[in-house]
Amino acid sequence: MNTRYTDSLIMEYNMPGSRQSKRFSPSVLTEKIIPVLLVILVLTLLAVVIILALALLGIFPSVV
Amino acid sequence: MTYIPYLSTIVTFAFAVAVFNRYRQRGGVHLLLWAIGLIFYGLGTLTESILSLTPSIFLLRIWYLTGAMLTAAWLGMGTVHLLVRKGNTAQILTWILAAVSVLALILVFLVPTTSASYDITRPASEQYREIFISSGFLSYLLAPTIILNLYGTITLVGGAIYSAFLFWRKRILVNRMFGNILIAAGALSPAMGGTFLRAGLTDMLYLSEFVGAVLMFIGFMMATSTQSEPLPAT
Repeated sequence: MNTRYTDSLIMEYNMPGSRQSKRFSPSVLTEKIIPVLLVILVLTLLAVVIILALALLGIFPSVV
Repeated sequence: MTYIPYLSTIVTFAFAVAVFNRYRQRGGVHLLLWAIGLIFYGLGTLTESILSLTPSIFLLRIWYLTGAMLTAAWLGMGTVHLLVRKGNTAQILTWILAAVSVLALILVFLVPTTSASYDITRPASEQYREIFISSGFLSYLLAPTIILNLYGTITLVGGAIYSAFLFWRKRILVNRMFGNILIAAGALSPAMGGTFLRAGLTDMLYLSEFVGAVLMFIGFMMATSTQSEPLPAT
């Protein structure tokens, strides 16, 4: 499922070459930073969704 | 700092042109929908800019429709087209969004206004409730506004985070991974603008719109650039 999805993203951008040729090896810093960034983004997204949902229910003052 | 909406407008329309040019070259409904979403984004910041110069209820309605209601949903719809390839779910959702957008247009222009005059020294998002009559039509307007923003934020930001995660896990296409991280961060920026406004940080609201447009533009350029050399391991 994920492989098919990633392949379709690669095809979408009309990237030449195979997936293997586009591999990268993250540096030590990147290895640590990227997961932290992704977690921060997910948490921020959750916070925004919760605020919007509460606004929809009338519990939180509307933010839009 | 009221010049910031002008900068946001320039960046957003340049971004819309870049996305539309890519659509013309390569096709792809997602690119067309992103371009439409960016035009709404640009119209929102453009009307915001003009409203800081001259009061206009008509422009306030356009600002609410494009900036507050439609931008996130149409951008998110583009991401849905990119991610949901099976069946015709994406097409059906697009038609539903188009119908809701037409309904929103009608509702926005039917909202009666009070006698309160528009204050050009304050942002539109701070005073539209004082100008649109808060009972009746506005109450019908708030629910679709929130639902459209929920849908747009979840699909656009969630889709970008998911894509970045897949590229990270498979260790492929580093430019696309960073591009999606920037797109997610950029899309979240204006979503948090309302919180800044409630905290009395009006300038931060304008800044969040500008930062959002810039981050998403850079993210898009990164994600669509052809990376010839893999990132060296250290």
